[in-house]
Amino acid sequence: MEYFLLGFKTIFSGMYLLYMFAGVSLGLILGALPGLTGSLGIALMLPFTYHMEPLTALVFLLSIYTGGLFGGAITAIVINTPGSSANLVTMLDGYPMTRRGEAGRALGLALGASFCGGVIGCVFLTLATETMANVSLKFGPGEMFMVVFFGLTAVGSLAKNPLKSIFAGLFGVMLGTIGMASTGTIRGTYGMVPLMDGVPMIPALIGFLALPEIITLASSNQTVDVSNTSNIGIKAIVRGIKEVFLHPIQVVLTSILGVVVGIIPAAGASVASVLSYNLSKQAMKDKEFGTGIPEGIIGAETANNASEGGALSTLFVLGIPGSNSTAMLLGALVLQGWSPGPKLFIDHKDVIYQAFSSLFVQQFVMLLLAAILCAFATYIIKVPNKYLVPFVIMFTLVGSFSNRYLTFDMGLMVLFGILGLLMRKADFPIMPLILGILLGGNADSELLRIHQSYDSFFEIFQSPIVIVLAAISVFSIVAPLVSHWRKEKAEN
Amino acid sequence: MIKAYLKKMVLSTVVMAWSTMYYIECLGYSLKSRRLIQMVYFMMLGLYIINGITDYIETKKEWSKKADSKDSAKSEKTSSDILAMLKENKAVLLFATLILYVLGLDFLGFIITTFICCVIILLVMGERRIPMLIGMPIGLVVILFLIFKVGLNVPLPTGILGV
Repeated sequence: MEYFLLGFKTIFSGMYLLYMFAGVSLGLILGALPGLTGSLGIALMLPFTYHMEPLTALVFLLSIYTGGLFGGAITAIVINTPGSSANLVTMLDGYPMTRRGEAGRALGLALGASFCGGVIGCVFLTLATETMANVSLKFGPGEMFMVVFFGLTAVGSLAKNPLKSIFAGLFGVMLGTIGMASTGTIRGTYGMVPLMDGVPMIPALIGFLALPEIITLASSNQTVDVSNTSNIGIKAIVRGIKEVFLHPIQVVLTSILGVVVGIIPAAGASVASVLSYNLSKQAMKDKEFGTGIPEGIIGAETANNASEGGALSTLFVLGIPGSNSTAMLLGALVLQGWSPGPKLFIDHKDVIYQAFSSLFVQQFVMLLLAAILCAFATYIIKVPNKYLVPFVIMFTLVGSFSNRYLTFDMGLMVLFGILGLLMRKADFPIMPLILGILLGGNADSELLRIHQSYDSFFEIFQSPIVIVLAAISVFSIVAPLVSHWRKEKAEN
Repeated sequence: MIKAYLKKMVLSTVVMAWSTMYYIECLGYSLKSRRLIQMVYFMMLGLYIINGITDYIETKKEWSKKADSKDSAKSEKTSSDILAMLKENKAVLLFATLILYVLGLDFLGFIITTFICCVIILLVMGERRIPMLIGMPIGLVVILFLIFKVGLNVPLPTGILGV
């Protein structure tokens, strides 16, 4: 806690505030551009963080993350197109309000709800992370190895086809073991020297996550209709923000739900907002959800922002990223020389607590900047894709070069981009693959430690933590398969 | 039907082929160095076979459904296929441009390749106005040069221009 309070002192220095304003603005603008997301912003800025101190990098990327979460709500409300899947249900009540000429009020409601959800998520993150992290102190090689397996299965369980998802994750683990092993053996490089240190993180993250996103955007013929947005003004936005505070019980309950869902790897903001919206709908049966009511927007936006706190606690405690954005955050930390896995929080407690302090401040920065941005939302949304695509593509290319100054990394990024796009088309989820790349090296060294510490691999199952993690992993594979099988049987 | 099935399986087969090559390479190393790879490889192989079987069953079902409504589907398919082809071509063209960019960067240098690549991307995106086709790439080259070369001291490839 002392680190957390001290963090405010550090964070309020000019440089960090500047990074927060820059990061939140970037996240908001990218989130507000149809087809682009805040996670793309993190991908684009990833190469820059290599030159930064770990805290600066974390503050900057977390700011983009915070801004991006709300940015997506702007397009959902104004043009009925969610900026990301997390804002899908925001559309249901947000767009009908826009059609009634209440776009400003709807944006204000979303902003106020996002702010409240974000703050509640931060409170949870600050209070619970240390307690959760203390459990990870008891982790030995068996537990560490099982965390990787748990991460892959948990992330995979929510995919359309869990088997494909686990296949992608295992492929990621294979890629993650390329390069010099802890035994000193050089594997899978086929004589390519740039692969000696393993698959480089920036080309992998940009290639698999950002490039397919931008190519998909380029291939879509998206048109933007902003004919109903004449009523966006600061006054209407502020009125909307104030209105959120008239629903304190809903705000708190949906935020708690968001935090809980956020803790589950891969569930994240989209599942949180859908569950919260449905819960609000069931709890308030007298209200007509989907017709443009404040409760609909509040239910969706508090939960998806609160889930940020839960997702970050899983990232910092277990070292498991649950979404594209958190995967890129972890990638940035790996670039800083941090080792992913359950010791992440324990090893870098001071920096992480200071980053938590910045998250609180970011919510206020977001409130201020988003209120201004919303007033100009229609101008940002209208930027044509044909001008955005070349800019973003060239940025990703030069960004992947700037880490090690190798054209090889650019080529690798393009190759991963092609693979990422093909995987998207073939319904292979990317997240498990990224997780595999990030944790593959760790899994390899932990397995080696297991064989050095135990006579047999199966001795690790003497630990209750390993048993629990293994049981959850098996359940997360079997449960979706059984439900899929039952569904098919019922259909037939 | 076989064609549709093979199309579904192509990606996982390529991945599996690479994994097999990697596994065979690792067989030459000590057990300590290949334990995880061996474990993961056999899990992947199992999943590949299961996926292959389920994909086959799914394709067979889809195919029999299609056969039921052959005529109506045929007219729909023609228009959607053309759209899909156009969209896919855009992606193919963009990726081809990126590959050429990477191949030409060391020889032509950052400034020339970035300019050409940006012009091609704009053309692929449907921009036909000459001022935009010249102005925007110049602007982009300047921005990237200032950020990366001047701001971050990244040694961008100089190529034939020497800058």
